[in-house]
Amino acid sequence: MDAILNKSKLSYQDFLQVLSAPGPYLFKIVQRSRELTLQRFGRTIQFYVPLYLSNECDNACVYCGFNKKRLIDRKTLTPSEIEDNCRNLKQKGFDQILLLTGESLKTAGVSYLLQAVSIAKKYFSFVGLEVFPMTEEDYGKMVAAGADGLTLYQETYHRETYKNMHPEGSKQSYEWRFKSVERALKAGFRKVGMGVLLGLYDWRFDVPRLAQHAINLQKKYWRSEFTFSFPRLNPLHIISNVPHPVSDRDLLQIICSMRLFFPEAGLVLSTRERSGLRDELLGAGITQISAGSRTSPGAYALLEKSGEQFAVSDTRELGEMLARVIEKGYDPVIKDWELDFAGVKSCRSS
Amino acid sequence: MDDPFIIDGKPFRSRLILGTGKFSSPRIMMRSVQAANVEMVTVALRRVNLNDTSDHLLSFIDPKQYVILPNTSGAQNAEEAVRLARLAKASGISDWIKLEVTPDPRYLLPDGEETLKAAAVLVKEGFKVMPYINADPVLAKKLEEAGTVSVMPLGSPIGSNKGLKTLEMLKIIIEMSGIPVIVDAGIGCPSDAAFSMELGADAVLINTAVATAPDPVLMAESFSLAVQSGRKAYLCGLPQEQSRGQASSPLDGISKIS
Repeated sequence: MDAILNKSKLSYQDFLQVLSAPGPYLFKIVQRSRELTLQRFGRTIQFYVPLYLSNECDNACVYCGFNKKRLIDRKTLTPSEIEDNCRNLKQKGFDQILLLTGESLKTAGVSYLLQAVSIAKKYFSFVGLEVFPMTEEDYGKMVAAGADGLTLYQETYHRETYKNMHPEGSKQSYEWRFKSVERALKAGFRKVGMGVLLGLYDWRFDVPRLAQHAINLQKKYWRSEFTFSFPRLNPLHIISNVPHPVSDRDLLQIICSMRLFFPEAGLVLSTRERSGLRDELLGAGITQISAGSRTSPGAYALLEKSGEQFAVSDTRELGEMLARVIEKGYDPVIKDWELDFAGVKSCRSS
Repeated sequence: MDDPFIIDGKPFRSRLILGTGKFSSPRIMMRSVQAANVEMVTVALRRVNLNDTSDHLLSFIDPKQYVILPNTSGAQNAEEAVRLARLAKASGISDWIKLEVTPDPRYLLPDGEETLKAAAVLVKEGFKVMPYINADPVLAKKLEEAGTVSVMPLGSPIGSNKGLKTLEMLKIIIEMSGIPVIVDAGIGCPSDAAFSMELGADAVLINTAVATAPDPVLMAESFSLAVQSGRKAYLCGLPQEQSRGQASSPLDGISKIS
C-alpha cells in the first residue's frame, strides 16, 4: 500500500486496493489526496448553485422526493420565474448555475429546457444541466443554446437494485441511462459530471464501476472534462431505511480514492452533507461546492414553497461559505469559464 | 539597466514571470509577486470578469507597475483563443497575449496546429503574441516566422513539477531561436529554473511551484534568486564537465621538477 501511495499514477488495480484499504491506511490516503488536490487545483474552491426548475415527474424512484406517488405540491417555473431566480442568484454572487428538473416531458421537456438555458445564459458564464436523459440530437440543441455541462448519475451500477429502485417511468431503463453520458459527450458537452447515489447498493461494487465507466469514456472523449459527485442517500422523510449505509469514514475513503485515481477531476460536494463534514472534506479532495441551496423549484425568488427533492443539511448561505473557505486558507473561485467556450457565439452579442 | 530582457523592444529587468492562479488569496498572490520581483504577471481570462473592471483579481494588480499578460487558458481551439484575446484587448486589459490552446483538459498539452493558426491571426491584429508550446523546435521557428514576440516551450506538463523533461528539445529551440525563449510549465524547484537559465533560456514562467508552496512568498523570492543566479552563470559561460578531477591550482610547475 505504501508503494501504491508513492506512485504518480495509479493503475485500476491500485485504485481497487486503495478503495478497500483497511482503516489504518485511511490517514495516508487522505494525505496523498490532499497533496494531489493542492498540486492540481492550488488553494482554490469553486462555487456553484443549483436551481430546481420543476419537481413534476413521471418516475417513481423509491428514494426521491419528486417520486410521482408522493403527495407534494408540484411546480414548474414559468420563464419569468426562471428569470427572477437567475437574477437573484446572480446578485447573490454566483456565476455557475446547475439547472435541475424531474422527468416530465409534458411540462418540462426539451423545448422548455432550451428556453431555460437561454435565460440562464444571460446571467451566468457556466450553465450546467442535471435533467432527464435525452437523445444525442436533443443534447446537441442544449449545447447550441449555451449549456456547458451535463451531470447525470447512474444511481447504481447494480442492475437488480437499479430495477427495484426505479419501478416506473422511463427511468426504468438502465441501458438508456447508462449510455446518456456518452450521447451528451458526442453532442459536445465540455464538462460531464458522473456519480452514484451512495447508499442504494454496496459502494464497494458501485464506485469501481463508476470509475471504469468514466475511464472508458475519457479515452474516447478526451476533450471533455470529467467531474465526480458523491451524493449520499439522505434518509429524512423519503426513504425510511438506507439499504446500504455509507459512513462518513466510507465517504472520505471514496472521495480520496477517486482523487488518487483521477488527479485532474473536479470533485463536487453538495449541501446534502452537514456543514462540519463538508468543511473537513474541502481540504481532502473536494474542489467544487454549492452554497445556500434550495431543492424545491424556484425557492430563491418564490414565496410559496413546493416539494423538495431532498433535505439540505448545510444551510449556510454563499456569504457565510465564502468566509469559511477563506478562513480555511482557500481562494473562492466564482468564475472559471468563458461564455462561449462551448462554441456558443450568439449569446455574447445578445 | 545591465543585461535587460527585451521582448518586442520592451526591456524588462526581471527574467521571471509569475502566474497568478492557485494562490490562497489575492493578497498572498500580490505579496509573492513583490517577493519575486517580477514585472510581468499572467492572468487567466476565464477567471476574470471582463464586464466588470473592478474584478477582484485584476483590481489587485497595478497595470502601471506590472505588464499584465492575459492568457487564453481553457480555449480548446484557435477560434476560442482568438475570441478571448480580442475580448481582453477590447476591455483594455492588454494587447499582450499568452496564447494557450489546450484541447485536452487533463494534461493541458498545447495544440501546435491550432496555436499556429491563432498566432497568425492575432499577430496580424497587432497583438504581442507569446505562445505556449510543446518543446517542438520546428513549431517554434514557424511561430517566429509568423511574428510572435517569444516562444514559451514547456519543461514538462503544466503543474506537474517534474522539471525539464524536454531538455534536449529545449536546447535546440534555444539554439535556433531568434526571439526570446521562455521556459513555461513543469518547473518544480528553483534549481530547475536556474538550470533553464544556465542553458540560455531568456526567462522562465512559474506558477504552481510558488502558489502551492507552504510559504509562497519565500518560494517566490527563492525563484527570483535562482533565475538571477542561472542567468549570471550563463553570461559567464559554464565550465565543461570533465571525466576526471582537475586541481583548482595549476600543476604546470610540477612537470618542471626534475
